[in-house]
Amino acid sequence: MNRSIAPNIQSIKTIHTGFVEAEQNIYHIHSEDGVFKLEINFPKAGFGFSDNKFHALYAIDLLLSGTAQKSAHKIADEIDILGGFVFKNCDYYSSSIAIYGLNENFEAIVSLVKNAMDACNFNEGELDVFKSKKISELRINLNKTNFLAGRSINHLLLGKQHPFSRSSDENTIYAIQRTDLLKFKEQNLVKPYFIFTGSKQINIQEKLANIGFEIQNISLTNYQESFSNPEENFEIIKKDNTTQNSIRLGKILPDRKDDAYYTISLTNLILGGYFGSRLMKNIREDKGLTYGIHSSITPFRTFSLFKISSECNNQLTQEVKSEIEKEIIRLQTELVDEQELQTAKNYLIGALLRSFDGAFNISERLKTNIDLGGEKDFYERYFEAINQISAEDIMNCANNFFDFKTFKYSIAGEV
Amino acid sequence: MYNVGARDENPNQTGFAHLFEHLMFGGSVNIPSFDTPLQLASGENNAFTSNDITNYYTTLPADNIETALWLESDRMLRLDFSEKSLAVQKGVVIEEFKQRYLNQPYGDAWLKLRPLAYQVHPYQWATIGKEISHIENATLEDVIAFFERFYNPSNAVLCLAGNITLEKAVELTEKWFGDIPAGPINPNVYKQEPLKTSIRQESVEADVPQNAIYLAFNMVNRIHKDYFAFDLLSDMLSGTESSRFVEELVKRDKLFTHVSAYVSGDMDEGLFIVEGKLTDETSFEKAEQSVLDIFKSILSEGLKPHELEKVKNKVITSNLFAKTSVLNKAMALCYGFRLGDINLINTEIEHLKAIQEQDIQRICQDYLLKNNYSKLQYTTKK
Repeated sequence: MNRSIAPNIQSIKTIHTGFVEAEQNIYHIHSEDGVFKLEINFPKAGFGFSDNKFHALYAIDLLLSGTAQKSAHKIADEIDILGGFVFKNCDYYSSSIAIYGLNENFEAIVSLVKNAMDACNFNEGELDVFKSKKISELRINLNKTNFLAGRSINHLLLGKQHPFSRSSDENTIYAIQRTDLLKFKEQNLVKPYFIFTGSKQINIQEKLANIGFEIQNISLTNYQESFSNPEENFEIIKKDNTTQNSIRLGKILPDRKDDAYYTISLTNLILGGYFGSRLMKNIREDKGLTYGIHSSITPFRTFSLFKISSECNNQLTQEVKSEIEKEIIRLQTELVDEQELQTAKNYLIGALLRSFDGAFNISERLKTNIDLGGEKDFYERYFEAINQISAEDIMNCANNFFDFKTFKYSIAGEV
Repeated sequence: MYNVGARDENPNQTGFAHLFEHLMFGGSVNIPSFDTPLQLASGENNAFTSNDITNYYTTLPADNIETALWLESDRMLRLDFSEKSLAVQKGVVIEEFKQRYLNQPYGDAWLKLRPLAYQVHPYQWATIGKEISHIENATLEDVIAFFERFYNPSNAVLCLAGNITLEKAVELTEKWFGDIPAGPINPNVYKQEPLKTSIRQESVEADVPQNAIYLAFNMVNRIHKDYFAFDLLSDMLSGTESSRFVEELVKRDKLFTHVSAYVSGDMDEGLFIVEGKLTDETSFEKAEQSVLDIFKSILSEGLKPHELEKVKNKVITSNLFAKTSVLNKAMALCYGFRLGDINLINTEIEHLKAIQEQDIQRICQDYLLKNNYSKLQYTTKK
């Protein structure tokens, strides 16, 4: 046996998302594991389009904080006895309550959660404790260079008032009133749609109707997105006695509907999107300047955010920055070799495949896809497009979208 | 999963098992890069080091399983040791040390807590190591000796999980690993920690926003039947929204903004830890006493209605969810093997269900109320 020869590998021929069509406002993904997940999604309650993003964040988090009849403790106690879990999540485009439990307890747990949500009165005591916790978290975060640099790059890219980048301070937290949360609930926590992951034996339409949810067709909200493009190109945040600096670079790029998106996504991967990327190989695996350096693309409906981030040696921050620039120039001037291109494509497709592995992963992908506008065949087109990308395409993309001079940057630490 | 962790290190060369984990990706005797062929096969991998074990895991399409076996067997056969790879990975690990332990408020808590809780057992240092100089001083000679001592089939367990038959799994494993010499067995003999007779404490003044307290109680090992009682107790105290710490110490008495209990889960005698961030009005004495008072009230008044039933039911649900992941199942099987009970994945729930109120009271009495814990206090720099 010659160990230097790699075993044959099979390439992935097709991608199957496992997405299902909605029946009215219910998606049912089959899973026979004995457990269920019900996600109640509120398309009008994302923090991106609330008058005050903190009202959205706090209302979702405190949705099980008590009613006139039941305390937060009593509600949690009853859910716990049934072995249920509830996760509250406020995203940019929507908010959701995800309920997990054993199949046999479905109705009991979901009814409990629904009644607690419907009658939630955001009592002052719970709100005060929650504010103290948030202030404590904020004070801890303000001591972290990664938090400071991360906040700063969002400000530079989208403006300080944009909901995605808007950050809280203690005054913002103190100012939040229970009446704000009640108003948010009344106006925004309405007309949900459901993603149910569980046994096909369960007639989910009937069960949800019995529990008292409205089963109806709903349409997703069309948002007008906008952001200011601040003039500042960089920010340095001085923080003494730090052992590392946090560096962030970024730029606004096109959204998923743009034909260039697929190539942007593969170019990002080659640059810094996985362990085998150029930034990781050069700055970590060749020079040992950092524990990690990554680049990423976060898609929104009408734009996407490209970012590079690293925590690195204080003295060598400039070196890290200039190595990033060198890697960008290499992408713009040299064709990616065939082996590197094929490796990146296969890795990306493998990661895509893993993200649809199993019913619970599928349900998360489905939610993300709906949030981003609900194009049904996005991932199939993505799979096809990635396979077609050439080395020339990557070079053109690097020149069109990844010009280092157009990147904004933030550094926090001893600079 | 290799039978080697930070507890196997020389006290003057700590952090070595973890540094070694990094070197395992630097190429092996017949294959210059570990990652590239795996990525080409649409796979991904990672690894972690604990005080007890080092776990390498790969996920890839079932058709390409042989790529993973080829890569894993070659690095078990022999790493391609190089000065360059060692120098680079020392740099990476030193940056990891700073990123995770030094450049975070409270990030060094475990570096300070371990030597308080253990004076004899090698759990007295963290997997990252006692200090950066131990990593800086590692030589290639040390690295090769470590490899030869631990990285061989005698100290490894392999799990293939997913769409593959047992026959195929055995055939492929024999093909790729069959000719690797078995090598020496790690005897897993460690100095045992004597019972503490008093409270050990350290106070630090640091650039942190809030005072914080850490209490570490020495407890049983991972295969002791009381392990599950400690595990359930930690859930009862802080694992849920209706738990005692949240209800009594955070919401009712407003002593902490955050307080939690958890078990370290080590194979040898581990720790039961309580950590909390104090509100401005709370003294350290008051914070500590409030935690001990809860143990006392469990002992004298017993549990509340449903208190044990709740956490058991939650564990049953989360256990079923964990088993929907093939990777989780593979890791649990390997870990069970290392603990000497490969069936643990199937029986764990029964062990948990068997725990009764008296067991919880007994561990409070025998372990948590003996005035022999370790205490670490962070005071904010004024």
